[in-house]
Amino acid sequence: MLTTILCPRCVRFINHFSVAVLQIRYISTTNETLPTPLDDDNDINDNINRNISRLPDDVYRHFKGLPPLEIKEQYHTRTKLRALWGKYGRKTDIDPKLCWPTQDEMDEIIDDERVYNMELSEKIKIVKERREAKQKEADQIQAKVEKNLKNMPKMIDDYHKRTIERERAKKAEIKVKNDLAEQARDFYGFSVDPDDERMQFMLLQLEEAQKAEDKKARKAAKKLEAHQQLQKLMGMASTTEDTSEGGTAPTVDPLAQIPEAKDKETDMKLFAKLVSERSKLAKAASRIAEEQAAVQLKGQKKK
Amino acid sequence: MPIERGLQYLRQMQRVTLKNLPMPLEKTEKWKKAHPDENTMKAVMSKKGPIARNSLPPFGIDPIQAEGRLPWILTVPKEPYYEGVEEGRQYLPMSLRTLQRLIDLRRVNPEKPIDLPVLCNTKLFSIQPDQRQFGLQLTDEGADIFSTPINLEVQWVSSELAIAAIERCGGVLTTRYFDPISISALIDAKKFFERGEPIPRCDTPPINAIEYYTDPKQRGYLANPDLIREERQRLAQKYGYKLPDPSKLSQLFCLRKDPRQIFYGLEPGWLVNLKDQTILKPTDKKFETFYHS
Repeated sequence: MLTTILCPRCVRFINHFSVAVLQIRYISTTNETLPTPLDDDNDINDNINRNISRLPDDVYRHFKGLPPLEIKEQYHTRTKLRALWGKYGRKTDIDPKLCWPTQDEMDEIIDDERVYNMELSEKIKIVKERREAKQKEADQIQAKVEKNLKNMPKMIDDYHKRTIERERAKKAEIKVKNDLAEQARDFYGFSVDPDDERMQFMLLQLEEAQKAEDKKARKAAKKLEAHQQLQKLMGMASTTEDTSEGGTAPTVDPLAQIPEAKDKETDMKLFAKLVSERSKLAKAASRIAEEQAAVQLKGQKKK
Repeated sequence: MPIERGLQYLRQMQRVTLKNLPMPLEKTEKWKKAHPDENTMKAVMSKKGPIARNSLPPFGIDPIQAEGRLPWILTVPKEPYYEGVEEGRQYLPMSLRTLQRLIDLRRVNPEKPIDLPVLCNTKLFSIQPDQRQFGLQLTDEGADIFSTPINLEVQWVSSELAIAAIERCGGVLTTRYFDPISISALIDAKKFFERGEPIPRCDTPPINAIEYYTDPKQRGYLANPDLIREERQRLAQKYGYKLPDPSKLSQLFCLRKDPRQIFYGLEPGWLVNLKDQTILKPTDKKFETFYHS
């Protein structure tokens, strides 16, 4: 008997008696007509409060999507009034002028945009400038590299030469020192330290001997020049005699230097170069030390 | 050279014997220092302190002044690879596969231009402008599956494949920049209109983004349209497809937005009311010039 039916009266599914029983129950036995609605009910219908939810008024209005009747004082800010206008529209008697910024605010906004936001054209310009600056730097470096690459073979050769010269200078230094040590040993009969006074004494003697030799060489060179000038004058006067006389004389110069000595000179020159370089450094170091000492003395004097 | 050194010794020394030759390689007993044993170390070294406990501070710090802990500056590690993270823009990824899926499931209408608000209305992407998220980016996945012509507008594209996949089917792609205020208006348009604010004017992109949005290769909205046409043909040649005729495209595919415009069909400065179904426009000259500049 009990079946689950959708009752036309109620909304819920409930266990009702079967439909046939219900229908019987609905039908009325009397012959009276159903009551008709009267004309007065139109006004009453409007005034009937159809709110049976037992909710408070403002909640019911919010539930139905109607604007609130009274706007509280807290809600009289512009943002909240805008929101009410946006949600409920014209029914709220809010002026839509509130939604836009005022004239003063607009002036401020325009000023802010002008100051803080750059225009598109300016931004594009800045981007271009940065790109061009980068390119420029890269191009400069490239040009430098290409320029230097052209000089590369020359630089490589120079480097080779410099290394060879350095090695030669080192070897020359060793050679010269060994030679001097040997000379001192021969001179004195026993091995001598290079720092010793005896070495310096011997070096002085050698220098004096070299100076005397240089003087002789200079005198001989002067003689040679005079001899050659004379020969020229002689030659100018008579050409035939020159061929027979000049041919024999200048082939062998007795005052010319031996080629072996050239190596020694070059070795000595290289050694002298090294010594001068080192002495330059030593001089600079000594100068700095003197300046520091002077500063210290001044400080002590002030105290 | 050891040979030369040997000859030198022969020259200089009076007598050459094994004992005379200075051979520093062979250490004599004088020079030999015994490696300290464990016992000697234990006796000499202290048993306490950072050295014994293998807890010395890093090189350059005085262990006595450190007082057993690192100086304050060294307590926080250095992570230089995170340098520009606070300023970087984030774009949420969206693949071609999801797009195709949305179109197939009829959540998105391909006959109308597809935009940020259209994609956000599907509620699949939650973009937060507070977290420096500036929109959506298009990714490669699903490039061979994609097969509908659409008019798409995205904020970032990083791969040529995605652009080629869209253009092969006859679609159109543009990349557009929106600033955070416009993004908050675009994500939830209904909420924005219920706030009652006039439609904002979109700012120009920042300086580090202008190079991207003026590039025709990325189909930027500020780029020259002639260059974009060249790039379309270049891509077609590169990936080996034929560009469909542009005259056959419907008019909707040619719709583009003004650089200051956010919504299709709505201009900045207008007030929209969804309840009344009305649009209010400002008439003051100042307002008009500002919003339309």
